[in-house]
Amino acid sequence: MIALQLEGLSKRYGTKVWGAKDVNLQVSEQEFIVFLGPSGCGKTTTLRMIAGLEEVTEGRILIHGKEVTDLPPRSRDISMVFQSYAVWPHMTVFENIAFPLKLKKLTKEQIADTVHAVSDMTNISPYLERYPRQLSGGQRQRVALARAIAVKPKLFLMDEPLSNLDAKLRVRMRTELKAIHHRTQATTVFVTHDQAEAMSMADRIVIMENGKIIQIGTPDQVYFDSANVFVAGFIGTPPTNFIPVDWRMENGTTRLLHPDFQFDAPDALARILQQNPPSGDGKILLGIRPESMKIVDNPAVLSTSTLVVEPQGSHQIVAFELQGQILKILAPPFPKVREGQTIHVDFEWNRVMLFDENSGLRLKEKEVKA
Amino acid sequence: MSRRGSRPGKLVGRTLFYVLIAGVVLVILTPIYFLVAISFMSDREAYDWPLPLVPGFFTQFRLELSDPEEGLVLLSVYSNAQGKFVSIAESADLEYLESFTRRKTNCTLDQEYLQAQIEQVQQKMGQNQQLLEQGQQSVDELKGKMAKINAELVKTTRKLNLLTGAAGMEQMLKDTQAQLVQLKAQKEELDKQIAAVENQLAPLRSVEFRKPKNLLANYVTFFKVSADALMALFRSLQVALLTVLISLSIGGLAGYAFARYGFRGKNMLKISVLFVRMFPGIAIAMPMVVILAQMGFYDQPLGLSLVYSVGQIAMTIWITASIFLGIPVELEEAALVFGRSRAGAFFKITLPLALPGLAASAMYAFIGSWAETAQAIVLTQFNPTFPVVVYQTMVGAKGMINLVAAGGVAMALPAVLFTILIRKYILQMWGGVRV
Repeated sequence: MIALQLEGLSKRYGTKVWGAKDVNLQVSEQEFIVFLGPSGCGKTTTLRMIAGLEEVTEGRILIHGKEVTDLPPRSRDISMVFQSYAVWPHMTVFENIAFPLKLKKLTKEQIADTVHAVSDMTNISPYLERYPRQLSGGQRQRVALARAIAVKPKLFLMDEPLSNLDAKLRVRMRTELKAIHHRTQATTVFVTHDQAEAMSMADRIVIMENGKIIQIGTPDQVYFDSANVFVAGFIGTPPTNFIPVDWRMENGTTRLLHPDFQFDAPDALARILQQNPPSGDGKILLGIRPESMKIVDNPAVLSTSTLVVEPQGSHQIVAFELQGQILKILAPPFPKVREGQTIHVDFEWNRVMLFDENSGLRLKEKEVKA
Repeated sequence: MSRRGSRPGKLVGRTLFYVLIAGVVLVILTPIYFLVAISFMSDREAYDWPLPLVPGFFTQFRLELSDPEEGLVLLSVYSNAQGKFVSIAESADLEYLESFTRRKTNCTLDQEYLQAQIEQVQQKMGQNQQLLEQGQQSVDELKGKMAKINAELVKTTRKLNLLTGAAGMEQMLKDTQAQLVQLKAQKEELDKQIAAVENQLAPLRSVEFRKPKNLLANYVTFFKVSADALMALFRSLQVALLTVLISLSIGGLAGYAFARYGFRGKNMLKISVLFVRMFPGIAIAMPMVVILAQMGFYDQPLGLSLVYSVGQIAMTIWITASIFLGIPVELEEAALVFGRSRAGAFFKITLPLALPGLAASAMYAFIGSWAETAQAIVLTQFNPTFPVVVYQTMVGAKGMINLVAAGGVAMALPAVLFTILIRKYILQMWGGVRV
């Protein structure tokens, strides 16, 4: 069953500025969807339109098949966790959680039961009689969460709920949020600019840029099968390395040309280039994840000297320069690489992504219809 | 080392800070103290110099018979400032004396009491007739001497004036000067003697008595003299509360709109509401007379509060807008998401949080319209507000400062009460809205 459906959703500010443009999305029940993108990409705008806090310029919103585009927030059967928590400061924790329930025609006992149940779930039972100002940021966040869970919504909206917490707490809350989601099984739309957060929590990630959806996919899909240069560059730390290369067909083989190296493209890549030749001057970008570059003992694709080595404990990040561009390799912790050392680099060719340099689009093998 | 070096500097800094604070408090409190003190003083005290710091609770009287044959009674009052008795009235009419002392000293000397005192003095004088006559004789003698010395003094002074310019008379000049000094000493001596004898005689021919002062007399008098004062007080209260109501409901809503909504010309409008306050109230008051008269609100509390509201609304808009801005929109949005309508979110979430600020802005409006005088003088005729009554007392034919002070304190009281009532909220506002 489809829990949430967005059809050509657009938001225009003033006459020219588009906050979101033609957003189409289907979210199935119990799914955890994460909107990911840099600030100003329209993810929060989209979420606020779903919540009914922002007027829709064009398009439709359907929740459980019912059109809610022009309904006020209270009639949409949703709940929301805000970035600033938005816990009401003049009410105790109990009152905060009970406030939305009071309108639901529940008895006092029912309300109290619900409040205790959700506060147990979020570990805030000892603080029910306190006021928000007597709580820490993490505890306030839990109150906001408990309040949102208590109403048992059809749709759970979260607007960067973890971004105001310190790094350590953020990682812990991430795990707890996921555990709570497993328990409540509520359909969730989660907005964040933190890709680690998105990767660790999402069933599917919606990547947005300039008000448009760029790619929708599972964390693995957006990571290993990025739709364009933006996604490949945005997801992953350190981000994907991009190497601009020329290519030429010679005697049946496809040769990749770079001022520092030349290489015969493996068959798979050659097929892609033959099937959809890139536009314009035909330059392509090789997108290689840092962990897909290997330091090997003998000369392979290219040889260079290292620029910087960042030891990380579990691994080390080796940076080197290629035509004025810094590339990074994610290498195992041993053997240790020294700065200035000459290294031989090999690519895992089956993991290399090809992009059209002009359009930034991914060049992919056409699916063979069986 | 550095800590030791900074310690005296810190001490000096802190001392200066406290001195400054004390100075500020003094500057604020001194006028208030004098206003309150004067409001409890009698007419005589209020015009005594130097002004007594504390109003007296009792008055020390002395009653003498200045002319027993005519039945003239001389009443004196002890002045702390001058350290002696000061005569305030001389009359044979006891009724006059009673009413005069009541007005002058806020003490009640009823006629029977005065009669009893007079009889006591007469009795005393009868008993000590011989002593009194002797004393009077010696006083007369001393006074005779005094007259001679005075004449001598005049002569010597003239001589001195003649000699000062002349040449070759140095010896004589010196002698004359010495003579003058001697004469002056003699005169002082005689003065003392006369005073001594009279002091001796005084208890023999006068009675002294203490009477409690009616502390609230000025207040009673103020409300009695200006017969309309009590009604004016109610009218002022009415005007002030109406102004608070009008300016808070209209200004508050406008402030909310300014804080929450974006619309064309918002900043222009924000500035332009302040323009209203740039015109002097008294200048607006003149045309307002005509407008209010046409509307039928001239000389009525509602009309006055309408005029005051014009200025107060601008202030209220600015105060409330900043208060609403201080309350995060998310709090309202959360209420919207969790089942409230826009109005519900405003009344359940925003209003309770804005209450401290609204209370403070209500206080501004209250005080601003409560104490306003200039426009009220123009806009009222037979139904003046309280400040107008106080003003009239001050500029009346007999401007008694103690009565004006009593009126002033009476005027301050409701404003102080109102502030105390909402102090909790005002103190909250000091720290801003806590979220």
